Amino acid sequence: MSTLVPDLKPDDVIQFSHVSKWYKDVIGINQVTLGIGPGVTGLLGPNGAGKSTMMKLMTGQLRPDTGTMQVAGKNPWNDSTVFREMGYCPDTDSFYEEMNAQQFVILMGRMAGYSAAESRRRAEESLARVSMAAHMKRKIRGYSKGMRQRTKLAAALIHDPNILILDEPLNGLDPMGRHEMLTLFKELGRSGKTVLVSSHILHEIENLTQQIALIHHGRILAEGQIEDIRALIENQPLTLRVETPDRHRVGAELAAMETVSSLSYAEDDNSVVVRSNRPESVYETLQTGVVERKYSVDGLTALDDNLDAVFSYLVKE
Amino acid sequence: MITNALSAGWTLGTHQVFATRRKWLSVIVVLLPALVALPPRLFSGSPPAFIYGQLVMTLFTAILVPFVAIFWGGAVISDEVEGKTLVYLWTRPTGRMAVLASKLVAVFFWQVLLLLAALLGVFLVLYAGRSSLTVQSELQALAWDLLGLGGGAAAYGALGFFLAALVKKPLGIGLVYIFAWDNIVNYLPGYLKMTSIRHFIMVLKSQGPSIEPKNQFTSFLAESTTTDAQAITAISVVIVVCLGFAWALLHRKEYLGDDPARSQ
Repeated sequence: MSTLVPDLKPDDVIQFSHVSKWYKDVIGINQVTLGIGPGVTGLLGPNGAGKSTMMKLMTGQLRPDTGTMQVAGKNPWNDSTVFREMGYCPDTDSFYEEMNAQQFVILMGRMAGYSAAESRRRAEESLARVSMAAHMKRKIRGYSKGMRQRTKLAAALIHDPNILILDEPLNGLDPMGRHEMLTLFKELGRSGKTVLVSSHILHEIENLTQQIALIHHGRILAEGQIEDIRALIENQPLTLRVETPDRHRVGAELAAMETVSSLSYAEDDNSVVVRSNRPESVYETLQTGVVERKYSVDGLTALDDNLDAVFSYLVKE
Repeated sequence: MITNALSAGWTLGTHQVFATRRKWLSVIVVLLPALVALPPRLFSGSPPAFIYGQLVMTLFTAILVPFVAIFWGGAVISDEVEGKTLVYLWTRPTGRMAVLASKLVAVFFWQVLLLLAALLGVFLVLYAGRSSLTVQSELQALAWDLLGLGGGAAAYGALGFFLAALVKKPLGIGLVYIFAWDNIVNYLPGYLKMTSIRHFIMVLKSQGPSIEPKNQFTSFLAESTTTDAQAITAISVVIVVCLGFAWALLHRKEYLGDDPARSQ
């Protein structure tokens, strides 16, 4: 699977080079080499895969046992100036509970080096950005999970960092909140910032970005565009849905192909579901059939060309 | 930039002392000694200087100052660790230590101020209605006591800070030190009492003679030749060494938060 993990590029803002981290005799991450550039990148993996360990290494909370790690050319473990450029939203639901969101975010602004007045201005702006302006005077203790997530995000954004490390930032948000935050992350990515978002929920990331890194058991399984990763997975059958009014004719032709491993007719619509190890041969056959007017095809959908399928394939391997 | 971060640390320290649920500890620190001083003032025939000396020796030196200082000194770090808020301090451009240091200074400042208020409370209860001449002569003692107790508070606070940098739950070790070790070694002959912060506070305190152990044998055991200068030096060394070790530990230590198997 090494072909799925490209080499580091010079313009990668975050660089892991053969980094391992152990918790006594439990391995957190194992020989990770990964480069993350500007834009939104999803760090995906099940619980316990090593996502938070990677993020804690990037934010200088942990020190690598082996390998080297840099963020914006600096080592976050011993160079705190990197935090001028970095905002971090931790996964832990921890606050100074007696403060309200405004006080908390102002405090974070002060710690980032801003004056009281500037911190207040930025805090209000930042809280408005995450739709917390109306609740910012209430004590954090009484906040819902979603409001707490938004407050953490506001704190991470207060110094307008170029690099954002967001550890499971969508946890606890309602659908509307998720949509708002996804829009915000996309905006930040489009503006040239490096946004790294971790999640164990595949469709969450799929809605956010096509640039992903998959981690499992402390190893990076794959990195890059979802489609590219999918294309690199050899010998994995792709499931296609062919929408056609001539489904029996189409089915007969496809069933005769050696590269088709299975075929079924959907019961409730005019479509054929086909699995093939070489999907491009199916595309060619269908194209020829349409051109030769043997049948018509209304639509062609790759059913498992998504993150869920990619992840399942990689983990199985 | 650094001054703003330091000011944030000060705010955080002040918040910890007065805005959290622990503000009740601050209220107790101020009011308890005055309340304890009230019955002897009303019902005992002993002179105020004697009652005052007893209270400084027993309540302040042996209980209040060590407990409050070690508790608050440790809480500067352990509250952040237990509350999992250390991450906010660790990921700021001013570095790990700046905010924590100013928070420690703030906690120490308020702690000494609360102790001063408590001492003044006791003083008022005992000397209210006495002649101004008596009060004036005792004011100097009050200043010395504050100096000794302030130094002691700083030393215990630094010890608490160091213990919190060393272990996750520092209060248990701190309590063993102040209520067991500190008590025992002060009545052992030889140099073991040099490991007791309380010993140095007692050297500096003003009201010593009136409350030294009456028994000849215990007097012999508790006997010390430590001078004021040595006591001040020793307290300073304790502060510097504890803070130095704490700093070194904090620079190297990784705080994992949750169990790694669950938090990855």
